[in-house]
Amino acid sequence: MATRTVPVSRPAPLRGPSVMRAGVALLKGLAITNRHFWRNLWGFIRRKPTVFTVQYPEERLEHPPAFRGMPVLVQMDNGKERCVACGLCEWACPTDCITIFPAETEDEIERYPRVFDIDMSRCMFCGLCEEACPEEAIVMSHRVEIAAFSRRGTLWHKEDLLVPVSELEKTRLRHVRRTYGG
Amino acid sequence: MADVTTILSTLRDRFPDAVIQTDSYRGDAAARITPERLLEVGRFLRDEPSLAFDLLLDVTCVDYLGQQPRFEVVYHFLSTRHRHRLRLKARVPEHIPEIDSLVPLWVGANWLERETYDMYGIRFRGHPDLRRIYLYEEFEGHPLRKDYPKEKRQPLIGPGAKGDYVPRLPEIPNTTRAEGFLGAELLRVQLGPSHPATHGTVRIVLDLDGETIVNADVEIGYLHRGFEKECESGFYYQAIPYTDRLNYSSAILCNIGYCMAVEKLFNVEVPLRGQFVRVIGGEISRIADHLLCVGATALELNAFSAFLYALEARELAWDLVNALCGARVTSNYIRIGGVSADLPEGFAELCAQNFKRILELVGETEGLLLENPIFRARMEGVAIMSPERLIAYGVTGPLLRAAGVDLDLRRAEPYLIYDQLDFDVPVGTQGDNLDRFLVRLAELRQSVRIVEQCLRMIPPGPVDLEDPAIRFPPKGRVFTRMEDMINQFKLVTEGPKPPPGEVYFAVESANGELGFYLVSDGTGKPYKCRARTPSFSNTQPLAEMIRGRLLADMVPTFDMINMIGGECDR
Repeated sequence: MATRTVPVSRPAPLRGPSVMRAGVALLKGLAITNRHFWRNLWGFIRRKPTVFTVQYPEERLEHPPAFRGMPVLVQMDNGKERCVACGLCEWACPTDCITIFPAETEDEIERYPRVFDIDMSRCMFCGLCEEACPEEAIVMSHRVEIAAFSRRGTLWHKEDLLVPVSELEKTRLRHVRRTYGG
Repeated sequence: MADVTTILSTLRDRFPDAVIQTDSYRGDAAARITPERLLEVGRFLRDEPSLAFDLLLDVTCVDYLGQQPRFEVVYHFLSTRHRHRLRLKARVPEHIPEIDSLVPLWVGANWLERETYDMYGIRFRGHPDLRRIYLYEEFEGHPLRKDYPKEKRQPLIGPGAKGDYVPRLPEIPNTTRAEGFLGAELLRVQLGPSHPATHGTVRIVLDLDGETIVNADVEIGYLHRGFEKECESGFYYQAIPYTDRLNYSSAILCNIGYCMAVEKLFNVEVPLRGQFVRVIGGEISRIADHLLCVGATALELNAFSAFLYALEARELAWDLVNALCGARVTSNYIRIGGVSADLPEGFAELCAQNFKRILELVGETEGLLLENPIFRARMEGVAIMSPERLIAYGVTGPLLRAAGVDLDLRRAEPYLIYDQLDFDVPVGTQGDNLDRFLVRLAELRQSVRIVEQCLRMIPPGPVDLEDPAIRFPPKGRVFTRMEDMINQFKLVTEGPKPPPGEVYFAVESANGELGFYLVSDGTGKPYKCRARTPSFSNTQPLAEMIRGRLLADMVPTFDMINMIGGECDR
């Protein structure tokens, strides 16, 4: 253990007449802000912007693979959902925003959710549903646009939630498989 | 530092008839006493040199519904001199829920007892100002009692619901002076709850004599959302996203505190790599938190460019958090028994690149501010409070270190791998606002140092605990093996079940000691989950700090306290 207690060094008391002190501070401040101005201008000219503002929706941020957007259902290549309606995500959800009604079919995967609703106005994008899911069927996508004109509009049904697996494999699924050893 | 048995035996020897029971479960010294002797025991704990419990961390209560006596009032103490802790408990019955107030001994007990009164209805005898603190006066019942249903809604009725509303100014309790210079009438102003200079919703009621603050009262609770009730109604793992919302500018640190408290209940430790990852995540959060504090202070002292530079630097820190866990603010990163994801690919390079720019920007922010006569005039020598007084208020973290007390839990009680790391604990010399500002800047640089060291030292290996009763099995095995599938189902639907018992665990969060007091009854849901949050205790001395100073001094003082609404109001 090599931690030390170090008193912070306070800046030297300001000396001289107040006009001079203010002048020095002003010039120093202007030098710093000007540096930023030229840097940003140069970035603008070279089309490599150094400013942090993103002109949404024309420009969009590129999210890291780990990014947690809204939860979606994985749609297999045959167009069906992978979900077997076991209800674990419903259990794990801290805000109870998921509603599932299971049903059975004659297909190879016998169970499926007849109803799978997520109330996006309650969802807090925590990702516990994804972590609980034993089938890799619900995944946090990179989609974030959930705005709606009414409260009813924030209730997403199964059809709205399905996202092809090919899209997810490029984004969050890559991270999920790496993390959870899938 | 006295060990647990010495503390408990000292207490037992001095009060053989008052101490009912002592235990040292998971290394926490705990004693139950008869409530009548509380003041006496408290005075002994504070004044006995070998104990010297000068800092009252927390007052709370546990509702054992169905047992007699029903309520257990719980106190947590810390000795800043000896660095040891004690939990003191006293049971009070339901029909007379009364106990002596500790305000005469620790002035910081004031708000804590008000909160306990608000949430549990415990009345503290001799308390100078026993009002509700979070809820409004018209609220009926005490929400954290076990017989208060979580779903129960009460209409938010303000004064005037009964039709007898008379507009009046809010009261300031315990006013020191009633009139101003030459008998002039004082001007009562309300600053907040929504004011550009108070980031976070807080109302400060002030009595002004000209521009001088004569009396002040800080009113919090505008962001109260029942964190503890919410935690008690969910499984242990479901509370992790809620801890994000405590201090939303350094969420990972709150995650760490909660998860480590649960791990202490289980008596387990995460693998070494997991510990390194936690430290990395936590320190990046700390950088973001300090940057926000520094930037917001600059903004509120009219230095807009400095604010933008600090926030640009924070954006870079948040990019790192985003790469780590997929969200910038609500990270939800740490799990009980591990972390949600290992470090992403290329994280060390991203860190090196962003830290370089962050330090440049911090240097520029400093350059803009530290020689600026206006900034200096508003920070230097403002709101000085003696370390003894701060400790009596229960203040921890950068605020206390700026007053020269080198209490940093990362060093005083090293958790995770902090004992293997090399970092400095910056302390202030005068304890004014400028020192607080400088301490935060210095801590930020130390955090960068810590992350760089961790990235160099991090060993390979698993990050998660291999224990199906605590942590989910890897997904690949859940898909393919029946046993792991069953474990996954059991853990999700029943929650991790720690053995019955109670623990307190504290970490050094960006604002000070963040402690979690958990009571387990052996089920998958915590029986009691209490967060001892630094902002709550740190905001309390504000009224005293600004008394007698100019109105303009309130703004930098409030900024340097760095009250985070989510953490203060829970």
